[in-house]
Amino acid sequence: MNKGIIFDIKEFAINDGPGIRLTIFMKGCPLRCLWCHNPEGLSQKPQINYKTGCVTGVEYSVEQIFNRVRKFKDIFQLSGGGITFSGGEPLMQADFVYDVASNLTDIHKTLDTSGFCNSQIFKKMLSIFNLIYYDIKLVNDDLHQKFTGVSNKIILENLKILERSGVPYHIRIPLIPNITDTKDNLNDIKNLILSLENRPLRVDALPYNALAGGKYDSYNMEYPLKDINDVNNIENLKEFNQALTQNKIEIIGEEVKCLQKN
Amino acid sequence: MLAEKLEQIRNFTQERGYKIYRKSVTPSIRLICKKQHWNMARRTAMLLKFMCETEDPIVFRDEKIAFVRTNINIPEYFNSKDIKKEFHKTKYQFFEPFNNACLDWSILLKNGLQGQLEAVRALQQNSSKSERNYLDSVVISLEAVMQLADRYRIAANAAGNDFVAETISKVPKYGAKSFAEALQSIRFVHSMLYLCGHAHMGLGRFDQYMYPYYKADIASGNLTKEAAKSLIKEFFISLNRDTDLYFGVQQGDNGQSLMLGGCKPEDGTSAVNELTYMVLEVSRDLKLIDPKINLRIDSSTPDDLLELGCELTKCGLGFPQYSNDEVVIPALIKKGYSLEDARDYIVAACWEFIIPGKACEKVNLGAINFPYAVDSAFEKTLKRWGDFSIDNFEQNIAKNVKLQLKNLITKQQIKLLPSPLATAFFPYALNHKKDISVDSKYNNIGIHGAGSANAADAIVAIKTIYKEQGQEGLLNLYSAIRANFVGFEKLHDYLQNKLPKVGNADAVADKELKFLFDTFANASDELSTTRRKIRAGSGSAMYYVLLTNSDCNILEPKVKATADGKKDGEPLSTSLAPSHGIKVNGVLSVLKSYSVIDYSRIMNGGPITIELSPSVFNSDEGVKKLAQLIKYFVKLGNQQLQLNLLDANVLEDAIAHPEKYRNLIVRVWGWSGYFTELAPEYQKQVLSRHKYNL
Repeated sequence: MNKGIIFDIKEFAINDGPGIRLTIFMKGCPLRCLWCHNPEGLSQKPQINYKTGCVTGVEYSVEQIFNRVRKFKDIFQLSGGGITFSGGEPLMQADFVYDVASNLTDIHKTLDTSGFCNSQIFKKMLSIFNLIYYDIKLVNDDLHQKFTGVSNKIILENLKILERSGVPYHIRIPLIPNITDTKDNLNDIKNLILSLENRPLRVDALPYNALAGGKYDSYNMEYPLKDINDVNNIENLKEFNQALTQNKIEIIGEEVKCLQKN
Repeated sequence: MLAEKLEQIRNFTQERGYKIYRKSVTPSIRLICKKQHWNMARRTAMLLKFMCETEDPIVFRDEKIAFVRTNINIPEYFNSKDIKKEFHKTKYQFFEPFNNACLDWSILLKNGLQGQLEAVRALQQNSSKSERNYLDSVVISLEAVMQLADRYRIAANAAGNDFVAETISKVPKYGAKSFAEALQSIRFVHSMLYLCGHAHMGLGRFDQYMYPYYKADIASGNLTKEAAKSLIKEFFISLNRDTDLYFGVQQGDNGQSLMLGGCKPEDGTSAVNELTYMVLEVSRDLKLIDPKINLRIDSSTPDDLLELGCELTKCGLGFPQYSNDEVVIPALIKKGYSLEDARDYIVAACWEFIIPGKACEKVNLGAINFPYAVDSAFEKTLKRWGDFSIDNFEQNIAKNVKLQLKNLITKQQIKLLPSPLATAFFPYALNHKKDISVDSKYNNIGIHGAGSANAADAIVAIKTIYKEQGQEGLLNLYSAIRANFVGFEKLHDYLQNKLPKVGNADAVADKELKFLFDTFANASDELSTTRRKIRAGSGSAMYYVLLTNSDCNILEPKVKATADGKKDGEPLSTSLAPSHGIKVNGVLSVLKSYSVIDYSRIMNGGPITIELSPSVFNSDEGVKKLAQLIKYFVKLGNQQLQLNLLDANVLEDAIAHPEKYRNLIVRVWGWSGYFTELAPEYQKQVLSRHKYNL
């Protein structure tokens, strides 16, 4: 049986899908986004958290996760919730994720992914997940390579596969000041979304959190964006949200509200 | 949002502005009482009369609900000799001021003090001399309060406050005819209880007894919803005055609990009404520590009510505290409470289920120290029986729990001092012409069960080591515990981090948790009598600190380091919460773990206590999802739940800079208080809880 390296399991995760959810954070990611707020999810190897002295990254068997999740079937049913695979990039351990998820037949499953993965594997995943959280960061490939370390070609290809699959999905955009929240990039993303035949259920533009770099210290790592101006461009975001709403695409309202307060 | 005027009143209260009116009148009235050969009931009535007479009526121009306490000292009115003479005091008898009870407020609102006074007069006909004598004390008490109210009327006129002058000319003397009169009446009489030295007096099912007045005023057009809300706000603000004078273990522990929701006693249908919602909204808007809100829920509680409760949780006040009717009511019935009374339950100062206007029971006589029971059973089994056996170990735990319980009930017979004033609102006692402190419809004793998580984890540790390393391993463990783990760091790490723990929905640990509480329930049944049953509970109260503090003088045994890895001096966890310092899977697991307890027998109350990180509320979804979590709590058949919200960083900063955090509120155990007013050991316990936010 497959084993998976997991860096956290969160019960009662609020922002990872509908209802009450249990989120499994898979360790390891092929991307190196400069703004990553889960630095312990980058490497697949176990790491020491120097603040707590504990090891982050534990190996679990499919059965262990299966048993842990099954215990909460009642709350998932009661609240319309389920489990979410996040990371890191969960599809870096696709076999493990597939084995766990395909066994949990009557539990709602969300996949939170960068979309950077072999298309055959991605298709296989779409056959078992109920909801996909799909990240779009930068449309311009040069910039994508510069800020995430990889090309977005395969990500955009998988987006096409996703929209054609009929599996419900959200598009999530991490808004990084002067990197992804620029007028050009948000305009490109808007055009990309409007070009899709099967539109996402919702578009979540996620404001930059000033605490994003908070965990690097614990792992003796340096936050690449430590000198960043932590305020998003509200004008660009408003314009973007407006364009989407005009096209009847649902957006997260509250995130914008909280930005305006600042 | 608060109107400007209310904002001013609230700030005045929070800044303790009312303190400038205080004075201290302290002549002893004991000698007068002694000369007159007055008994304790009469003495208490005379004390109230004295206190009322020495009060200076203070009415502010713009307020609608009046009363501020000015005389801060309660004079001596008896001493231990007087007690001995009246009660034939035995070695193990202790006396406490009247406490942890709740009047039938609907009687006050319906009949007023005058109505009750006439009822008492009628009762005095055809009474024996001693009964007449007792009822005289009730009369004196009622008259004293009415006289002070009359002086308040004069003061209100002088202050140019026509509103208060008008209401207080009618209440509390007569039955209330409006919503405003009802609030003023309760504020006034409730304060009188504290004025004569009583403690922890509850506010009962506020949304029930106030509803008829609300409904009538709204129907007649005399009151708008907004005006009603504003009145409740003033009423709540007034409950935050004077509280530093109230007796409690720490500031804030004053027993002003208020119950909302639940079902109707007569038919069990939902009792939720507009006021249920309104009170939660008011409490959310005010963000004050009093009154402490409790909410009775079941599987049919509307989602929007739960969500409103969660919005209040979001304020970080540490309430509402939730009780599950589907579990509590059947357990009360099983213990002998009538169906109608059980459906009318509220909580005492913290979480103990009591019946308002019917009973005055000793619901917090003491606590079982579970970690001590395990520790001493371990030592005993290891030493006395050459060969350790699991059976012997378990039997010794059960024996120790029973022994502790027996000690508590025999060596600590707590009697309440009488309360003729309160008795006027306990029809059962009044009709018997006896004081409520001696003639309660129910006479049970509540005992807390403290440190259950640590104790269950310790059993797991002992059993695991026995299984893996036999007797040798246990001897090593024993040495480690007695050395407070100094020199046994590796073993300590193993105990703390590698073993199954309560709170992680792990069947191995949860089985021991259930075992401990079953043991406690068994001992309680064995030591109960028909008249006086023992109510086993799952609360910790202040015992989470006291039981590990070798300096404090209490009847309960103390415990040092324990097999679960708790070191000497470290506090136990709160009520039902995982041991401090362990890795917890999350809130779902915690709720699941605690659902193994048989709450039909563990029924004195004591909540599952969950510390949430403020980040839960970063999005609007948080409130909705937390409401779903509460539904899950009900579905699992859990009994009581307390959700607290605070950031450990904020607490640390508040310890370093108390001046910046004067209004920072935290849940301490069954009550909320200002963090900076707590003694350091309680601050430490609260902080160590919040370090493990889920």
